Amino acid sequence: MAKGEYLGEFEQLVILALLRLDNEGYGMLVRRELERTTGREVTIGSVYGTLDRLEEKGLISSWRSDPDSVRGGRSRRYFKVEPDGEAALARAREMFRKMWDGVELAAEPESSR
Amino acid sequence: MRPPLVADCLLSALCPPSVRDDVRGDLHEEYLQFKVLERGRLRARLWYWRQVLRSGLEYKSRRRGPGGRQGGRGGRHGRKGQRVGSALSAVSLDFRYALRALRKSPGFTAAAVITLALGIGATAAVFSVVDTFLFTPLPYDEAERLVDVYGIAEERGWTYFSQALPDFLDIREQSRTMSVAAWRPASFNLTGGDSPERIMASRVSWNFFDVLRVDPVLGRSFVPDEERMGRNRVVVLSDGLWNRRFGADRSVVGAIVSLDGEPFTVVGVLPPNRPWLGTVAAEIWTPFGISGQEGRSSHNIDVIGRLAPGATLQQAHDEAGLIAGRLAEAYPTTNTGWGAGVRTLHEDLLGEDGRASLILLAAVATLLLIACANVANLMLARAAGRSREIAVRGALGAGRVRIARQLLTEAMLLSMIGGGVGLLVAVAGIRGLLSFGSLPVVGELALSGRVLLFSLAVTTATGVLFGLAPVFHAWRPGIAEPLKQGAPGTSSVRGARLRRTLVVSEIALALALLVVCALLAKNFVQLRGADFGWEGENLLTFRVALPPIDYPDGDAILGFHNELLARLEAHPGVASAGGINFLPLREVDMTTYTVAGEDSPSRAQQPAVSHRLVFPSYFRTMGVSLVAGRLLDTGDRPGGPAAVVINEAMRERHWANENPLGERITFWDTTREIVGVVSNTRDRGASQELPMVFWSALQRPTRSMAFVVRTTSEPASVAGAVRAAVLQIDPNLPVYEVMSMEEIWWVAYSGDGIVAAIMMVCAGVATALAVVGIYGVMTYSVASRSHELGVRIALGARRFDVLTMVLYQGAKLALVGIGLGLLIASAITQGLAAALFGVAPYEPVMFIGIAGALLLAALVAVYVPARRATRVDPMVALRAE
Repeated sequence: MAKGEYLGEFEQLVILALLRLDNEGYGMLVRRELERTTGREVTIGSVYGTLDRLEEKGLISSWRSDPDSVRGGRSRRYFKVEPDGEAALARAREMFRKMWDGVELAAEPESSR
Repeated sequence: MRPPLVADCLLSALCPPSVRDDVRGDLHEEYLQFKVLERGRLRARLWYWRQVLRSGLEYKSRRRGPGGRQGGRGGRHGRKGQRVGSALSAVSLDFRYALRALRKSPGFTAAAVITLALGIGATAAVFSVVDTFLFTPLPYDEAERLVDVYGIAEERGWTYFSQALPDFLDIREQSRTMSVAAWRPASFNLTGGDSPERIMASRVSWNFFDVLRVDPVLGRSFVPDEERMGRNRVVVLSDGLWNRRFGADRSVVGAIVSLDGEPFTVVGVLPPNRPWLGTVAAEIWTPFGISGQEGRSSHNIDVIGRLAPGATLQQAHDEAGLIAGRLAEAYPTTNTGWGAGVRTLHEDLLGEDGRASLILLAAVATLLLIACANVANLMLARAAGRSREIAVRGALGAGRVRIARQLLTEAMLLSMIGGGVGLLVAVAGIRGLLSFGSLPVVGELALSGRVLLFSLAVTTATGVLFGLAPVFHAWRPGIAEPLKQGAPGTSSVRGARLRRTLVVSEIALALALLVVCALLAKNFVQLRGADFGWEGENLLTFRVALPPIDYPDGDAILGFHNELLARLEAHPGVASAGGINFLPLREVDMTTYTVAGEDSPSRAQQPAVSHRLVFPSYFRTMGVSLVAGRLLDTGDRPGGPAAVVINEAMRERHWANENPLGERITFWDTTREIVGVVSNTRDRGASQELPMVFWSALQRPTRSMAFVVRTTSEPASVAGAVRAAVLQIDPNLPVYEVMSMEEIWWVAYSGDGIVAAIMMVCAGVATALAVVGIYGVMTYSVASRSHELGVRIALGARRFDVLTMVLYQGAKLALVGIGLGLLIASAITQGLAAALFGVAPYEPVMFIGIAGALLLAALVAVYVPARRATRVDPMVALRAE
């Protein structure tokens, strides 16, 4: 990822989800983690689209597991976050922290937990 | 348990192949492992569909997005997904546009939805009746292989008749294509416990339950040995009886029950919710007691069967005929002229009702057509009003196909909404139908899967049907014409003619429906008022059956009956009482005979007559009058001369111009002398005045008798006294089938009543729709001609002339419709008159009456727009050019 490009909001959420899953997440787990934490219904299509994009940018990588009887003999595609990905995430967080500095919102949104 | 198949295929089509397996795998995994458990199957499926649709849209939009990955991964995706994707988005666009358009004209939408809901809902409700009768299989294992084996008396023209027991045994032994069993109705007094009860029962062949494949939940059914006289004191209980009288005691197998005073051993209990098993409401089954002495001329059992593996219905039918032929050769005295045939059990139990319900379906489909025509008119009016908008769209590049598709989408959306609301109407309609009374054997009347599917098909067809109208209207070149002038959308000649045609057909169909409705109503009213030959009011009936063990001979039987009649007549609320073995409109009993002095034909050619045993006071109690000679009286006692009373129809048959008194008739075991002639009674139903003969029950004591009591007030008020009278004589005797003659009549004719009532609702709604239709068309016509009307008025036409002109035009439409309708109606009347009572093939008064009423309604509907036409202000109208 070239310096100066931003990580989109959803891309950040996906990388965070992978980290929460201890770098052993796959499609379904990522989707459920996102849905559970954010409280919004997330489609599997958007999840995979973002995973593909992140992989192309080199921020995450994937590997295939052994064939699984639960999936009728197909193998699962697992993802893990690359150092570049962690770096990009950290950069994004730093960026927002700096922008939030000194900003006060008129009304605080409800926090969900 | 798999995820929804259709959604799955859609997903495969929409997904890029590189991620397809993973996406599908993840979705399946989540579906199976979590969603079904968390949310239940239905919501899990909904979730799956949502995922597929939204993911699909996202993939599609991502492909098209600016800077999207057309090359590389996206390009490798291929064309199929793109096509499906773009089709999806086009449909969704049409859909959203249609939704918006409908929301903008709430009045139109409401009117259309209500009209459609009525039509579709009524159709669905009636179809559920048809479904119950025709399409729902009988609730047995492989029910389509169950058959009814019936007897045919060729020379008499009787078919679907019962069989004789010895013949049945031969069929059972000889048939290679079926395994057959038999049953006949019976009833017993069940004693022991608090009060005696009359239990309906069936006497069956030992293999009855095996053939039907109904297994008892406790114990067993019967074994071959138990079919013999003396060994048949075993019973199988119904689940209901087991619960009611035996407290669901699981050790009931082996218990002894007392039926008609005799001990029977319980050998089995049937599962609950058992389907038809012989006698309606039977609660006990016991085997035939075959003595070997049964005659082949008593046709009193019904034979059912199951086709053997590989056998066809036709083969079984042919074989039955063959066996009957062999029997006729072997036993010429009894079996000559008797054949046999086979039909499905479903046809036997439900065939007639199914056909009747199809007629209702035709009526309700007509209603739906009228509703479609109305909505089509509404859409045409609206389309004409939108011709400008359509022209603009055409000018901006929308092809005709596109516009047509848009209009069809609107129609389908409208239709779907109407269909949805229609289901609510259907549920209400079904509840209404159920409130009329219970329906026969097979099942619940409900919105089954088939009914829902049918409703969906009907809704779709309806949408296409009326959607075509505006498409047809918009489908012409020169779509930009309205843009050229400043005038608001003027209706094209073509559109107006289409609207008029629709309204004319609506009126024609409505008239036809009204006529059919009137015919059925007349049929029912005539039945109600018909003279059946007896005085139907204040007549209570009931049955008592004497168990042989307590009443072993004629003296005992007559002792009871005479005592009972005496007690009944002594009661202050009773004017008179009598008895008969089979009540009118209930059961049938026929016998063959020969008339002394006429040629003695073979058994097969002997005439048959309805035959009854009566106590002498029967005629007086029923109000049947004596025409000649004398009634049976107490002088005709056992040992006295054998007497018989005939009715007028019987006299017509043999002694039309002579005096029958003193003539002799020979029945199967006695020869009797005619002592009297009574007036006709329609014991077999309104349409038949059949010959009947009556013997005295005093000369032939019978254990199972019905009694009729003429009461001074409400029949029901005496019911308690009747029961008490019986119990006073014998505390172990239950009284059953306590019904007034009114109730008996209703049981026989409720079907006609229900059909007539449904038709009335149908015709009423149809007429309302047709009248509204003509109102709509005339209103629109007046509104779109305001310019012309303004000119007329400005040029000096009086208001009155304008009024009559509009009225006249409306009347023309109505008259053409009525004329057409009369043609259709007379064709229908020809066909129906044969089947209905009191209805002639030509009913001019009825036709004229209905046509007149409809014309009047149409004129009233046209009057409103006609008045509005007179109020056109010529200045305003002329200015709006």
